[in-house]
Amino acid sequence: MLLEARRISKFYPGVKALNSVDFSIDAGEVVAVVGENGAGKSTLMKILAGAIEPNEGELYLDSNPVEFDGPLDAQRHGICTIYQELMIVPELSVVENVFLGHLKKKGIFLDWNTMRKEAQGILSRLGLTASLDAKAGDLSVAEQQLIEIAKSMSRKSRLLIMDEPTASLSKDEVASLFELVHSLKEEGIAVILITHHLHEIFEICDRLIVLRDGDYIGASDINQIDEAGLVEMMLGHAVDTYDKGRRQNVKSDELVLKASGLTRAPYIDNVDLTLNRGEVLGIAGLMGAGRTELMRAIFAADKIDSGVIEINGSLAYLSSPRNALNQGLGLAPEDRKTQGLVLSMPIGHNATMPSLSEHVGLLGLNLRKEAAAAKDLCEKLLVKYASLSQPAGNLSGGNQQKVVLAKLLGAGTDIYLLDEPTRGIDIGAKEAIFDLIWDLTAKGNSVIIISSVIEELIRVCDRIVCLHLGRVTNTYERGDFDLNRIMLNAMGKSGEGAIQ
Amino acid sequence: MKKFVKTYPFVIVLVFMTLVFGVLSPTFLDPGNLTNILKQASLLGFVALGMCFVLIGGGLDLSVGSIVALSSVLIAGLSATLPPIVGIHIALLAGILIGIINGYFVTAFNFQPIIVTLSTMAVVRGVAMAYSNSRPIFGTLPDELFLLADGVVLGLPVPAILFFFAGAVSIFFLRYTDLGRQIYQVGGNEEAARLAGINVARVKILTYGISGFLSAFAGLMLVARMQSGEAVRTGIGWELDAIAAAAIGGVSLMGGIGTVIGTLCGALIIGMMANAFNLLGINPYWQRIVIGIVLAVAVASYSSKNLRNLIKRLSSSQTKVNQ
Repeated sequence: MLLEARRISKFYPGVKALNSVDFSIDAGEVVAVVGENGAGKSTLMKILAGAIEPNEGELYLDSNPVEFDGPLDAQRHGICTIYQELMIVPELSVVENVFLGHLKKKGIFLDWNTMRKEAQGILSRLGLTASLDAKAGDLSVAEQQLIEIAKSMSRKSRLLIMDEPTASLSKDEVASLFELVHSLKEEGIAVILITHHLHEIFEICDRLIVLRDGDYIGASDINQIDEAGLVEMMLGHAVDTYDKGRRQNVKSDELVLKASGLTRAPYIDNVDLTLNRGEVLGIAGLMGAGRTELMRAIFAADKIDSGVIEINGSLAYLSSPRNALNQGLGLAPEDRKTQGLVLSMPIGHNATMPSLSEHVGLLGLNLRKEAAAAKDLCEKLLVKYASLSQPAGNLSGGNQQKVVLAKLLGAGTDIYLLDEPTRGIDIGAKEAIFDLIWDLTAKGNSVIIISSVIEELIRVCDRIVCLHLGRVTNTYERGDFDLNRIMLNAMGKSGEGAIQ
Repeated sequence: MKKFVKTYPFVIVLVFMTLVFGVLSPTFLDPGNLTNILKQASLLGFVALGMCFVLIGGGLDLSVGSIVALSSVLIAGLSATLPPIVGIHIALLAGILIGIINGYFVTAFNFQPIIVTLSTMAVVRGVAMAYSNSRPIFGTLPDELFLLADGVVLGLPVPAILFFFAGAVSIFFLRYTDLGRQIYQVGGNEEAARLAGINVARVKILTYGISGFLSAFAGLMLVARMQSGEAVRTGIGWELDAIAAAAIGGVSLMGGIGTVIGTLCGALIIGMMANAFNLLGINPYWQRIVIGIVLAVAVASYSSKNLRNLIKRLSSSQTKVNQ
């Protein structure tokens, strides 16, 4: 047994994060830790990686009791973690980030030659083409994540913990990551994988354990369980929602948003877009296709070079996000931590952020009314929290995303721009978000949604626009949806049926 | 109770210090001395309060000490030719204007606050020295002005009343206005605030403006006390004391976190130490050393998990020994 955890418990004020959980992993084994948001997966991983101390329970490394004195100590014992929240230093170059904390030296000098060679080797194995000297902060989220993976590969780790490594990777990137995991396995390195994509678990893992609300639910070898069984373990009940169909079409003929000739060099180039009332429009594209930039251009978060936006048939001169919000637009940004939430602020204050002025009375803010509104919003979105005055940073990733959506809901948005709203979110929460989207459109709102998972777009959208290198390559109406063709178009290959 | 200690540790420190100094020095707890402390601490208190706004908004203001000096010489100097009330208004407006300039350069050009305010710190100090020829100005100040420093209303010194009043207004502003809330949002995550429709530039400029105003007001209080204005030594190092007061009171230099009550307690803690060391006849350099240590311990206790763990471990080993 490489690493074993026995009867681990962790309590936070008001929250039982983990309750007597057992876990073990052998050398060369790939084990998935599965559970909904807030099930305690991340907490367990942090304990294994020495980032937090458990209140109860023991860890055994090579069958010897061990207590990690911080994450560095765990790393010295060969346990490396790639957290869901990237730990990239944006001002440093790619190669400096890869060797962050363990720079190689020759005598008293840094040995850049060796480091560059090693970094290049690892990065090309990972399929990252960025220059070693590029500033890490200038890269896309996916590329930054690959740097994170490279970082832990460059250490001689025996156990690699990956918390949602594929959440922002494209299909190709995921495939090369999994190849990598296979070769790590053959070298005897153990891997713990947290993922919300069940098919990934079945593709790559040997074994899985399931957590629910901090409790240990069970473990299973991968060939003794199927997807339905796993979902039942995760949720505690069988789900029919898992292949639930789509709600009826509520798309109307009324045009609510029309963008013409949107250009912001070098990201988006002459993009035309329309959106009808009640419609769900998907944007498919790879990382770097300009999806996020398109959303931000519509929302006036970035200045555009040229192009016009019409809302409800009249020209909208959007000069700032405030302007866009007043016109009924709402953006849930790609990265909830750096753009969506103020992590140091209470959950409740985050939820009412864009709608705060509604709660201003003669005597200033009506805190009670605001708190009631925040509670209502968070409950509508099924946010799991101990107290509304808890800082938003204490929430799990999925719950943070729900708070971001609560903000939009509270702002009285009628055109929702959702940038990767399902990233890093479990099945239950994903279904809740799809339900919310359909609910919103049924009430006459409209939605534009970005997702890296094209299957999700196919499920949820009325129409899908394919974006490649800042240009629209094709548009598909529901009924013509075809996974392969959409994928090809998103990759810039205008396959069959593409408009030339 | 536990929650109170966790939220307001500085209150405990304040009470603890009062008791210790009270035991060490028989005169420390005299009502006369306590009023004296309030009077002295209130000067730094105004500046620290302004700093608290700027820090919560994610900025930093090094120009406060220079604004205090400029305000003091303006009030004293202008009184020779203008009615004092006009001079006072000009000085306060000058403070606000300098703050707005600070905020403008920080927001419009995205310059680092520390550089912008370091520049204004030098420029404003220079202007004050040029205006006063680097000599104290006595001017023709009315006796009523001195009541601002020496007056007593309902048994409380006027500076302390003004200090608490400014504190109360600030608490209300930060807690019960949307603009106040926006300061926390901008300081906590500027991009998220912008995407939530908040006018980030306006909020930041506001914080620097408040800081400039309160610093100029401290200059007014200083003139009232000293009965003169002076540009060379006035307010030297106050920016650091103000940052120290805010930090002791739990204001984060990273922005987004902090309270007015904490800042006021921080200013009182610093003022109290100065007074007590004086009474105890301890050399003033010790005062600087102790302030430095208190600051380091305070900031460490807010931010360092390790330190908290260490304290926890120490106290748990203590209990083991006791058993």
